[in-house]
Amino acid sequence: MAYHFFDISRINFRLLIPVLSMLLIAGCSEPPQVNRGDHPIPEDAVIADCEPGQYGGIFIINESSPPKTFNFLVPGDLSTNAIQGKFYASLVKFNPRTERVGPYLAKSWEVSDDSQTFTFHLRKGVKWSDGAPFSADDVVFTFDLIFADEADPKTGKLRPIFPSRSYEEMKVNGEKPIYTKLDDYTFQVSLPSVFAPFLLSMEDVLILPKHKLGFSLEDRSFFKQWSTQTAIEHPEEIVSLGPFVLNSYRPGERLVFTPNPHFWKFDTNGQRLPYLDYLVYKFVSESNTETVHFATGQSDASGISAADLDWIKRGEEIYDFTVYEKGLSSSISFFWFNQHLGADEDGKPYLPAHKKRWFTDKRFRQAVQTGFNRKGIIDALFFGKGEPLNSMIPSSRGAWHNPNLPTYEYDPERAKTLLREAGFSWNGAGHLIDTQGVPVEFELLAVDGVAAADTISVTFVENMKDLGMTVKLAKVDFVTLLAKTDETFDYDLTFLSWGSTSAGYDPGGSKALYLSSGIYHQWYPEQLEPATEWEARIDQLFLEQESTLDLEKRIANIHEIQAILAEELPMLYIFSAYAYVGVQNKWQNIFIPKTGSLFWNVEEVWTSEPDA
Amino acid sequence: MFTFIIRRLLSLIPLLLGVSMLVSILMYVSPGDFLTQSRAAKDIAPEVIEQQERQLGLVDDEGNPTKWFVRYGHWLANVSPVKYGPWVGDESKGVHLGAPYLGESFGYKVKVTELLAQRVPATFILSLTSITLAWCLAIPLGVLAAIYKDSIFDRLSALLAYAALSIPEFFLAILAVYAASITGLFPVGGRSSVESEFFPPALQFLDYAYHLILPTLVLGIGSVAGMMRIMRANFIDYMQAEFATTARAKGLRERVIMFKHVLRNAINPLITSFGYSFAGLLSGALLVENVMNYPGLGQLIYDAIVREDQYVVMAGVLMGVIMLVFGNLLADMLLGWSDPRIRVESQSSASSTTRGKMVLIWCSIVGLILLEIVLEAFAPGVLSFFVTILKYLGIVMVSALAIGCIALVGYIVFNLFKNLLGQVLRRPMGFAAVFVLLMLYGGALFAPFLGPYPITKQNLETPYHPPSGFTFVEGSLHVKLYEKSAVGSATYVEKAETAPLRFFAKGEPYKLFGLIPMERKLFQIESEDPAARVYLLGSDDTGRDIFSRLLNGAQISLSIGFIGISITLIIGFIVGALAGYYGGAVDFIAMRFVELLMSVPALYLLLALRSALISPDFSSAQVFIVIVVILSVIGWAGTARIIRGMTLSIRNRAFVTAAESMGQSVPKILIKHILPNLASYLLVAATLAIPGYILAEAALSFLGLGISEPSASWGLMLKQSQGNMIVFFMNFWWMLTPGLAIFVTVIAYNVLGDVLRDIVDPKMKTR
Repeated sequence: MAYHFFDISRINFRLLIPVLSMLLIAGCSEPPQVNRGDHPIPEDAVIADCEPGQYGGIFIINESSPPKTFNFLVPGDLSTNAIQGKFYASLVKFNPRTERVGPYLAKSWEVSDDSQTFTFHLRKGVKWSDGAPFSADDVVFTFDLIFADEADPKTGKLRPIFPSRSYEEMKVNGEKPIYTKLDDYTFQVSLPSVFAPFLLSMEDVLILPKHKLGFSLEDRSFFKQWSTQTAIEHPEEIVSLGPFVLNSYRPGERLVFTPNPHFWKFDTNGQRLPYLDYLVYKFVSESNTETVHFATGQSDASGISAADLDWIKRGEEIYDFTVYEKGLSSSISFFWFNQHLGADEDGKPYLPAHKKRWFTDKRFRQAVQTGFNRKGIIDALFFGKGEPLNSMIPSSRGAWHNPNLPTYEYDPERAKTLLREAGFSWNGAGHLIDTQGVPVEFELLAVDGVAAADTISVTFVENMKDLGMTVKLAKVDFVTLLAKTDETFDYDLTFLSWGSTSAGYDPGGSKALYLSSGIYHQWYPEQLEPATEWEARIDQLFLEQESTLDLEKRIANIHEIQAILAEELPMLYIFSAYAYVGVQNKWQNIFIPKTGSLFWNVEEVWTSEPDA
Repeated sequence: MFTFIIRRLLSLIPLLLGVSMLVSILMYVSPGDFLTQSRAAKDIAPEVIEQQERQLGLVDDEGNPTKWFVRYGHWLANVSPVKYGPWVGDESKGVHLGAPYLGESFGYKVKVTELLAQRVPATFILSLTSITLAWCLAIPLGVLAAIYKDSIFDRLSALLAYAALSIPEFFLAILAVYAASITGLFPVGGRSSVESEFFPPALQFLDYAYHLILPTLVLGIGSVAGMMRIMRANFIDYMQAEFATTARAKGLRERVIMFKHVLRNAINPLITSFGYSFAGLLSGALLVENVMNYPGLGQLIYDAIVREDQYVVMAGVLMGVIMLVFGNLLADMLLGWSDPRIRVESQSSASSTTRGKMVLIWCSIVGLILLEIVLEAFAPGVLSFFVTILKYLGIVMVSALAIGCIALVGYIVFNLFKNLLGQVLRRPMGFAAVFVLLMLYGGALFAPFLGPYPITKQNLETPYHPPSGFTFVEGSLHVKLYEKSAVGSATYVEKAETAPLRFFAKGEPYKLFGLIPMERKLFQIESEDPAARVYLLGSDDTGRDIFSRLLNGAQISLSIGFIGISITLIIGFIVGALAGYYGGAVDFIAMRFVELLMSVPALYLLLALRSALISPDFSSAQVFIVIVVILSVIGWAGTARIIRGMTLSIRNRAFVTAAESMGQSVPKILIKHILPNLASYLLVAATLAIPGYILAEAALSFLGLGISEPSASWGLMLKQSQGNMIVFFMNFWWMLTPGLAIFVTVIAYNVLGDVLRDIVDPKMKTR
């Protein structure tokens, strides 16, 4: 009998395993219901100007690198910033729909007549995700953290206690602004002088909770707070003022957000945003894998490079997504010749005389630009889905872009004419020689290991060979490149690509590039006096636009700067490709902005089929 | 046995000190530091940078960069369990014990131990499953292939092994990702699915297991093939051994002989290698992790090396060392268990001399450090000067050594071939292999003549051009011409017109063998249109001729393997055989040195060496030499260790004792008696290793650290072809021909190796 019993139980047990696991899979693949709480609507809640939707759904975003920190003042990288925007909030926010800086935590603000004092009125009744009230104290606390400094015991100079990029960025002409709390919901900032992009830079100041982190200003442990370790062990410690709160973080795998039960934005039906149950960032370090993930329906949205467009579009029907064109990408790439006229400590000029002769001649630069087949590279790399770039401010920047600029289309014959006009000629072997018979030979520094950089530099070398110039290609790592272009200035020609964030939307932020004394004035940085007349003119135009809030005047000046740069060509612009994004069709309220992140309004995104 | 273990563990201390110091110095001499990126972002004020420098301990109070020994000393004091005065998180005074503190990550602002702990489980499990897979597959397959030697099964498994060996790991990973995304059978990378967040533990476990399958296969397959070939070769060797014959004569059943006697002997080299795979448990698999998006340690430590996040690198490398020592200990004990003839405790008899040697080693290490510190203190910059000298001198010396090694290996191979060529050629497999290799090397040698275009010649209007078709027009061979099917498309259609193909026609001038100026090419097309080309194997993304690039790339890819293996085998044999033969102190020192080299995970050592050795102004030829040197410097240690293991067991054989008692000199014994017994292993190892170098070069290129544009190598070309998923999804199959070239080369080498082995092996002859 006992034996019999044993036998039956064994059979049952074996049968049970698949049945049980089937049940488990069926029952548990459904994520648990998210607790959104039942908190009252704050007095100054925002009503979203979007179509009302319904709750539910998991939105999966692929991100290439995991955040290094959850503390916004600790220097991080781009992806760190993108993720921080989901649980931090700033006083003002750039709105891609209106293309203007709009209210966020501040419901309104006033600017004094001298354009130097900003008074922000904060929303009443807003709460942190742990229920603690938000007030002007938090804003003051954030500014205190940014500007906390002390005198260096050795040099006597002031230095920040928590060194961050914001410490420098928020200062105007090297002076700290004066900020005060007028009452619990009013905050005032006075600038030492007029600074046009100030409001935009306020977007980068993310408000920190005084009730949670107040102690860390005193004991100076602020930089150790809210690290990745906090996120792994105590995600609830990272309180949020944004649409989402941190649910869990698995390093190298994913970051899961759930809705902030105290978020202060509602739809027209009075539902508290966000609609999503879960917002998941998946970390995919390899860009190929990231693309494949999206193309096979495993993530909900993804940026798509022009090169991949053709084959990804084929999956649109199978996996039910749509690829949208975002317009020309806002990143900038350009060559520049070293035009540094200075000399090193031993009095040896950075540039030998013959190279100075070539590189400072604008006809030479124009010839190089005309002889460089940029359209060809676009055809090869992106199957024609791009355009040669003609300005530092690409057309995606709207009104700031000057549409009437010379284009320097590929024309080797025209390039040769330009060279001939500049006094160059060709010797018997077909080499280009200058007026003194020196053959034109220089070196192109290229950053190692970047695929598009390879194509660009190899094509450049080939194109210049057609003009009779000998260009040697030198591959260096990024560190060496920077040392050469910023410190030792022993280079001839190189190129870089600059990405940009939405904060870069206002060209006023690129002061260091345009001013001849600027550190990003790549071809000849930190000049004591403008080396040329046109650089002096740009200095003048730029400073003029910075000290006025009159938008039309500013745009006119910026247009003139672009025209001068296009004529003188200190920077030989390369191209920008069209950017594309793909989004699964089930998501509603998707608004594709011209620049910046696709997920800027992720709290408004919803789906009618959350289980699909 | 107990004292043996204790002694091994004690030997860990100098090893750890040595490795950590080596890493510390390498990180100090490599250009840049953690703040280099911040310095590049010029909108960060210099004061902010200075303050961070001070906070991170990169400069001293005067603002000068801290010397490496100051940083190292600081780190050492932190790590040391004996502390003086208040320490991190401990207020007690005076000398006391405290927990080792490995520092804080510069980038993450988190304790290094916590940071590593986040990644350890994932890496550990993946390594464990792939090692298990490799052992469970390799041993039975190797044994079966040996027992049924020359059967269809043997040939088939050899072919599969060659195939597995000839595919770069990262490429296999990409294929796996592609296959997974097409079929939907497996998850495309990652460690768990998003939904598993809400699963109960049992299902979460299943989910992990499901995600492990592909990475395990990718990581395991490469080692299965290698281990299987070694297992087969050894098994065949021992099947002919005297003890097997004796056992057969005694009338033991064949099955007992095979599994009780032969297997236990044949498995030795694999057990030796087990120590290293165990060490790899925690060093992670950077490339596969990268492609398959697996959150392991490899990616973390690689990033840390690139960003010079010093304490993370130090801790990661130390972890590797500790694992290695444990692995080796385990391997030695397993070896002692499986092969009682090996005298595991032999060193204990010579312990007094060892102790003396150890004191000597310690003294010299401490002396060297002191000397360095004195130099650095009184004559700053000596170290970097020394490194610069070492860099150039080292390159000259090593290239001389390389030439010497090639000459020697060439001489041996030539002699071997003089006697063997006839025999090799008489076998059809041998003939085919020699023929293919001759074709490949000939193609490489005459590349500029055979390839119709220079490797940099672009044609931006024809990216991803398919291979040209041929047709006969009026009795002469014509090339079909193509045009894009639509503007902005990557597909081509045939044009009505064709262009005649001309043999020995004039093309762009070039220099044959780098010396003889020539203009004639094997073939060119004749066309009015300068953009018309003949693409035998299609074009790449800028319209360059893949056929020409393939031939020129062969010059680099085919020579890297040959030079590398020459250096590796010779140094490996000398050190390994001497260590194995003498044992005792020689063995002790040699093996500690080998462990030092091997304990730093190869990829990290390679990265560190590369950044310390390569100057930006190096020409591509110099970069090539440096890469060969680095690869062989890293490679010889492993060979030495395995040869030592085999020598250990051979030296106890009767014929060695006989030779010793006859008074033969050591070099003679090594060359006359030990070498022939190792020959079969060395040949197999060499045939397996040459492709290894080709693949290593490909892996380096994948990371952007190998040969760079505008030069061409197979690895670089393969990398370029897979750099973009478009190649797969648009079926640009011709972009994968470099992979085919690697594949053919590997098979040819392996077949040749097997044929040679059959001929050379003395025991085979007697049969």
